[in-house]
Amino acid sequence: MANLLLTVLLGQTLVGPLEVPTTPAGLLWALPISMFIAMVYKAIKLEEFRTGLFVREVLLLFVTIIGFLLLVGVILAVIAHLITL
Amino acid sequence: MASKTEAVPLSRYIVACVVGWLIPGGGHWLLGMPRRGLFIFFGVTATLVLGVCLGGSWVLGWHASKFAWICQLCSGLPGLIGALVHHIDIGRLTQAGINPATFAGYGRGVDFGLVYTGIAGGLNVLAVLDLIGRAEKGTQPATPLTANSPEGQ
Repeated sequence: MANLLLTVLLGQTLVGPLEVPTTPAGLLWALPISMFIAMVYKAIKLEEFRTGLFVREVLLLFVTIIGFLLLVGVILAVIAHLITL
Repeated sequence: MASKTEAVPLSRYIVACVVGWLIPGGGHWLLGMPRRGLFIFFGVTATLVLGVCLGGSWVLGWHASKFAWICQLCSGLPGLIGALVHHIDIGRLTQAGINPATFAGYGRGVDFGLVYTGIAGGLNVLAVLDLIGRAEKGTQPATPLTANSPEGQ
Protein backbone atom coordinates (compact mmCIF):
# COMPACT_ATOMS: atom_id res chain seq x y z
CA MET A 1 0.00 0.00 0.00
CA ALA A 2 2.78 2.38 0.99
CA ASN A 3 4.68 1.46 -2.18
CA LEU A 4 1.61 2.08 -4.32
CA LEU A 5 1.00 5.44 -2.64
CA LEU A 6 4.64 6.41 -3.11
CA THR A 7 4.53 5.39 -6.79
CA VAL A 8 1.35 7.38 -7.41
CA LEU A 9 2.67 10.43 -5.58
CA LEU A 10 6.04 10.29 -7.31
CA GLY A 11 4.43 9.73 -10.70
CA GLN A 12 2.03 12.60 -10.17
CA THR A 13 4.86 14.83 -9.02
CA LEU A 14 6.93 14.17 -12.10
CA VAL A 15 4.07 14.50 -14.60
CA GLY A 16 2.45 17.80 -13.69
CA PRO A 17 3.98 21.08 -12.56
CA LEU A 18 3.95 21.96 -8.89
CA GLU A 19 1.85 24.85 -7.72
CA VAL A 20 4.30 27.64 -6.93
CA PRO A 21 2.49 30.49 -5.21
CA THR A 22 2.83 34.03 -6.58
CA THR A 23 3.70 35.26 -3.13
CA PRO A 24 7.06 36.14 -1.57
CA ALA A 25 7.12 32.56 -0.23
CA GLY A 26 7.56 31.34 -3.83
CA LEU A 27 11.00 32.95 -3.85
CA LEU A 28 12.12 30.39 -1.26
CA TRP A 29 12.70 28.09 -4.24
CA ALA A 30 15.91 30.09 -4.76
CA LEU A 31 17.35 28.40 -1.65
CA PRO A 32 17.83 24.82 -2.95
CA ILE A 33 19.34 25.90 -6.28
CA SER A 34 21.72 28.27 -4.52
CA MET A 35 22.82 25.40 -2.28
CA PHE A 36 23.39 23.06 -5.25
CA ILE A 37 25.33 25.73 -7.16
CA ALA A 38 27.51 26.38 -4.10
CA MET A 39 28.07 22.64 -3.62
CA VAL A 40 29.12 21.92 -7.22
CA TYR A 41 31.21 25.08 -7.52
CA LYS A 42 33.16 24.38 -4.34
CA ALA A 43 33.56 20.68 -5.22
CA ILE A 44 35.30 21.88 -8.39
CA LYS A 45 37.28 24.82 -7.09
CA LEU A 46 38.70 23.65 -3.74
CA GLU A 47 42.38 22.82 -4.13
CA GLU A 48 42.45 20.64 -1.01
CA PHE A 49 39.32 18.59 -0.51
CA ARG A 50 38.57 18.07 3.19
CA THR A 51 35.01 17.53 4.44
CA GLY A 52 35.12 20.23 7.14
CA LEU A 53 36.63 22.81 4.81
CA PHE A 54 34.20 21.86 2.04
CA VAL A 55 31.13 22.26 4.27
CA ARG A 56 32.39 25.63 5.56
CA GLU A 57 33.13 26.94 2.07
CA VAL A 58 29.78 25.74 0.70
CA LEU A 59 27.88 27.44 3.53
CA LEU A 60 29.89 30.63 3.05
CA LEU A 61 29.17 30.75 -0.69
CA PHE A 62 25.51 29.88 -0.07
CA VAL A 63 25.13 32.75 2.40
CA THR A 64 26.96 35.08 -0.02
CA ILE A 65 24.61 34.19 -2.91
CA ILE A 66 21.51 34.67 -0.75
CA GLY A 67 22.94 37.91 0.63
CA PHE A 68 23.48 39.33 -2.84
CA LEU A 69 20.02 38.20 -3.95
CA LEU A 70 18.54 40.05 -0.98
CA LEU A 71 20.66 43.11 -1.79
CA VAL A 72 19.49 43.12 -5.41
CA GLY A 73 15.91 42.73 -4.17
CA VAL A 74 16.24 45.70 -1.83
CA ILE A 75 17.81 47.87 -4.58
CA LEU A 76 15.05 46.94 -7.03
CA ALA A 77 12.39 47.64 -4.39
CA VAL A 78 13.91 51.07 -3.71
CA ILE A 79 14.03 51.87 -7.45
CA ALA A 80 10.42 50.72 -7.85
CA HIS A 81 9.41 52.85 -4.86
CA LEU A 82 11.18 55.94 -6.27
CA ILE A 83 9.62 55.47 -9.71
CA THR A 84 6.10 55.11 -8.31
CA LEU A 85 6.35 58.12 -5.99
CA MET B 1 70.90 15.24 -16.03
CA ALA B 2 67.77 17.19 -15.24
CA SER B 3 64.84 14.94 -14.41
CA LYS B 4 61.64 15.67 -16.28
CA THR B 5 58.38 14.40 -14.81
CA GLU B 6 56.44 12.34 -17.30
CA ALA B 7 53.28 14.08 -18.47
CA VAL B 8 49.91 12.39 -17.97
CA PRO B 9 48.55 11.21 -21.34
CA LEU B 10 46.02 13.55 -22.87
CA SER B 11 43.83 10.62 -23.91
CA ARG B 12 43.05 9.95 -20.25
CA TYR B 13 41.70 13.46 -19.83
CA ILE B 14 39.70 13.26 -23.05
CA VAL B 15 38.03 10.05 -21.83
CA ALA B 16 37.42 11.74 -18.45
CA CYS B 17 35.78 14.74 -20.16
CA VAL B 18 33.45 12.50 -22.19
CA VAL B 19 32.58 10.38 -19.14
CA GLY B 20 32.17 13.57 -17.09
CA TRP B 21 29.68 14.92 -19.60
CA LEU B 22 27.67 11.68 -19.77
CA ILE B 23 27.73 10.99 -16.02
CA PRO B 24 28.06 14.18 -13.96
CA GLY B 25 31.12 13.83 -11.73
CA GLY B 26 32.21 10.65 -13.52
CA GLY B 27 35.27 12.35 -15.00
CA HIS B 28 36.52 13.48 -11.60
CA TRP B 29 35.92 9.99 -10.23
CA LEU B 30 37.88 8.54 -13.14
CA LEU B 31 40.82 10.84 -12.41
CA GLY B 32 41.00 9.68 -8.79
CA MET B 33 38.80 12.36 -7.18
CA PRO B 34 35.79 10.26 -6.10
CA ARG B 35 34.50 12.63 -3.40
CA ARG B 36 34.51 15.61 -5.75
CA GLY B 37 32.77 13.43 -8.33
CA LEU B 38 30.15 12.35 -5.81
CA PHE B 39 29.27 15.91 -4.83
CA ILE B 40 29.15 17.02 -8.48
CA PHE B 41 26.91 14.06 -9.34
CA PHE B 42 24.59 14.80 -6.42
CA GLY B 43 24.47 18.54 -7.16
CA VAL B 44 23.76 18.23 -10.90
CA THR B 45 21.32 15.32 -10.63
CA ALA B 46 19.41 16.79 -7.69
CA THR B 47 19.02 20.11 -9.54
CA LEU B 48 17.70 18.32 -12.62
CA VAL B 49 15.31 16.07 -10.68
CA LEU B 50 14.02 18.99 -8.60
CA GLY B 51 13.48 20.92 -11.83
CA VAL B 52 11.39 18.08 -13.25
CA CYS B 53 9.45 17.87 -9.97
CA LEU B 54 8.75 21.62 -10.14
CA GLY B 55 7.81 21.87 -13.80
CA GLY B 56 6.65 18.33 -14.58
CA SER B 57 8.06 16.15 -17.33
CA TRP B 58 7.02 18.79 -19.89
CA VAL B 59 10.12 20.86 -19.09
CA LEU B 60 12.33 18.14 -20.59
CA GLY B 61 12.41 18.46 -24.35
CA TRP B 62 12.47 21.25 -26.88
CA HIS B 63 8.73 21.98 -26.83
CA ALA B 64 8.92 23.92 -23.58
CA SER B 65 12.04 25.96 -24.32
CA LYS B 66 14.72 25.32 -26.92
CA PHE B 67 17.37 27.19 -24.95
CA ALA B 68 16.62 25.25 -21.76
CA TRP B 69 16.63 22.02 -23.78
CA ILE B 70 20.15 22.69 -25.08
CA CYS B 71 21.25 23.34 -21.48
CA GLN B 72 19.54 20.13 -20.33
CA LEU B 73 21.48 18.11 -22.90
CA CYS B 74 24.68 19.44 -21.31
CA SER B 75 23.75 17.58 -18.11
CA GLY B 76 24.63 14.31 -19.88
CA LEU B 77 22.74 11.04 -19.64
CA PRO B 78 20.05 12.26 -17.20
CA GLY B 79 19.10 15.05 -19.61
CA LEU B 80 19.43 12.83 -22.69
CA ILE B 81 17.24 10.10 -21.21
CA GLY B 82 14.67 12.68 -20.12
CA ALA B 83 14.61 14.23 -23.61
CA LEU B 84 14.28 10.77 -25.19
CA VAL B 85 11.35 9.80 -22.94
CA HIS B 86 9.72 13.15 -23.69
CA HIS B 87 10.22 12.62 -27.44
CA ILE B 88 8.63 9.13 -27.25
CA ASP B 89 5.69 10.51 -25.26
CA ILE B 90 5.13 13.30 -27.79
CA GLY B 91 5.29 10.76 -30.64
CA ARG B 92 2.68 8.54 -28.96
CA LEU B 93 0.35 11.46 -28.34
CA THR B 94 0.69 12.66 -31.94
CA GLN B 95 0.05 9.12 -33.26
CA ALA B 96 -3.08 8.92 -31.13
CA GLY B 97 -4.30 12.16 -32.70
CA ILE B 98 -3.88 14.20 -29.54
CA ASN B 99 -2.32 17.63 -29.69
CA PRO B 100 0.68 17.44 -27.33
CA ALA B 101 0.30 21.13 -26.51
CA THR B 102 -2.82 20.25 -24.47
CA PHE B 103 -0.49 18.57 -21.96
CA ALA B 104 1.76 21.57 -21.65
CA GLY B 105 2.11 23.00 -18.19
CA TYR B 106 2.11 26.70 -17.54
CA GLY B 107 2.84 28.91 -14.61
CA ARG B 108 5.66 29.60 -12.25
CA GLY B 109 6.28 25.91 -11.59
CA VAL B 110 7.24 25.40 -15.24
CA ASP B 111 9.37 28.56 -15.25
CA PHE B 112 11.21 27.43 -12.13
CA GLY B 113 11.55 23.93 -13.60
CA LEU B 114 13.13 25.29 -16.78
CA VAL B 115 15.59 27.36 -14.75
CA TYR B 116 16.49 24.41 -12.52
CA THR B 117 16.99 21.94 -15.39
CA GLY B 118 18.92 24.51 -17.42
CA ILE B 119 21.24 25.30 -14.54
CA ALA B 120 21.82 21.55 -13.98
CA GLY B 121 23.33 21.43 -17.49
CA GLY B 122 25.32 24.59 -16.83
CA LEU B 123 26.81 23.07 -13.67
CA ASN B 124 27.87 19.98 -15.61
CA VAL B 125 29.53 22.19 -18.24
CA LEU B 126 31.43 23.84 -15.38
CA ALA B 127 32.61 20.42 -14.18
CA VAL B 128 33.76 19.43 -17.69
CA LEU B 129 35.57 22.77 -18.08
CA ASP B 130 37.33 22.04 -14.80
CA LEU B 131 38.50 18.72 -16.27
CA ILE B 132 39.82 20.55 -19.34
CA GLY B 133 41.68 22.95 -17.03
CA ARG B 134 43.16 20.02 -15.12
CA ALA B 135 44.15 18.44 -18.44
CA GLU B 136 46.09 21.58 -19.39
CA LYS B 137 47.93 21.48 -16.06
CA GLY B 138 48.26 17.71 -15.88
CA THR B 139 49.70 17.18 -19.35
CA GLN B 140 52.47 19.72 -18.74
CA PRO B 141 55.70 18.57 -17.12
CA ALA B 142 55.88 19.36 -13.40
CA THR B 143 59.46 20.67 -13.72
CA PRO B 144 59.34 24.06 -15.42
CA LEU B 145 61.78 24.61 -18.27
CA THR B 146 64.29 27.34 -17.45
CA ALA B 147 67.09 28.99 -19.38
CA ASN B 148 69.62 26.99 -17.35
CA SER B 149 68.12 23.61 -18.14
CA PRO B 150 69.28 21.90 -21.31
CA GLU B 151 65.67 21.69 -22.63
CA GLY B 152 65.08 25.38 -22.13
CA GLN B 153 68.02 26.67 -24.07
